[in-house]
Amino acid sequence: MSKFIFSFLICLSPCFLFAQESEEDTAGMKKTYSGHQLRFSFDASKLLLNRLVENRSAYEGAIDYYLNGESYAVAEFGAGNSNIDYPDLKYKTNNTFLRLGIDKSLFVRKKPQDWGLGFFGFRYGLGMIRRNDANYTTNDGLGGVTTGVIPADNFTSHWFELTGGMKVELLRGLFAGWTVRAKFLLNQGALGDLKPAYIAGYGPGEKATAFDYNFYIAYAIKWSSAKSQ
Amino acid sequence: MANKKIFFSFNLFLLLLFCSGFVACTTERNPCLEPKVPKLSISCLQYKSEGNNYIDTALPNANFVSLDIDSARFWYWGADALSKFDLVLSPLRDTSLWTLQADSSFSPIDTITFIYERKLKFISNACGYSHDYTLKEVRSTNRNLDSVRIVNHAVTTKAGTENVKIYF
Repeated sequence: MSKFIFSFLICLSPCFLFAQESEEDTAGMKKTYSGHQLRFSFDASKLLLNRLVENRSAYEGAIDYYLNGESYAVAEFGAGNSNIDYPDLKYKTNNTFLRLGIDKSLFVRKKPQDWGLGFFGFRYGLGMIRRNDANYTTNDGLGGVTTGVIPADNFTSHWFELTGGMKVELLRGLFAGWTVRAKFLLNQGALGDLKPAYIAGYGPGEKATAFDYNFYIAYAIKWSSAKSQ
Repeated sequence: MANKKIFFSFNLFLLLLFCSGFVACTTERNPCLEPKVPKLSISCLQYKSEGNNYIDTALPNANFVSLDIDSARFWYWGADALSKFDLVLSPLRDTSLWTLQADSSFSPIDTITFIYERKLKFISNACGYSHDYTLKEVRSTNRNLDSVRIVNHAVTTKAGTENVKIYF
């Protein structure tokens, strides 16, 4: 747990640098830029993990829209599945999820075409989960083995996230960026005794707190020129 | 200047990404490190008239045998100088029948019947399910032993909990 917190703080540290710089650079300027930008992102890190981890997969995408005041409205969505195949317990899950929230830039744009940012934000996450029949075996210690089935069930999970990260415009309209997330499951009890081992968009259902990251590749549409106010 | 910082933090992130990726891969499938079979813990005591109390007594050469409908399984066989024994209960039935012979060379054999309720319990994804038992009653013959008493009704995987005392 401590290594995740440490990594999370390291990842956020550049953002604090940006925040300090923006305060210095914009002191006395009081100049902000507007404009419209709609950005479509997909999470490349999940594609990598899908190849490295055998028994689960996830696909994530995001859409964000620039609001005034250096804020972005964000909608993230995706789907995933897992295949739990332990010697004494086997089941499969699949789920879809939606996250909604706001990202707030930590520094003020210097030029109208400056769309890179370091940010922090929050999300509300909603997951719709389907768990198939779970087959289990137990051993009584005397060589006797019992088997049973936990019937399939559907769950709805809710969670809250704190996010931080950055996005860099590599080419005109083409962005790359990362987001780190601290997630807090709000209704773990509603997932029953046999909690889904993996919830795409959240993480391990057995844990009330989870950490995650995304590495986004994005393309942005800008349909009006920025202007000074 | 800002671009350099952005590049620096971008590269730092990539490094963390790959490190975290490897960590995630190695911890994806957890081993089961918890006990899965609940043990019914028994202690043996003997009355001492000198002190007018019961003290732990080690059985000299004990046999504990589980009797099933069509089979017998030797759980302890010639156990030397033990006063505490861990037995198991059947998850298939609500009763388990055991025989106890305190000294296999000469002492008579007693039977002990444990009557209990079963409850399925989820441990973890790695360990799967187990059973918890609640002892309702213990019956025994009295050829050699004097009596049997339940001191803790919950038979779980938690270690160090004594469930039944056998008095000689």
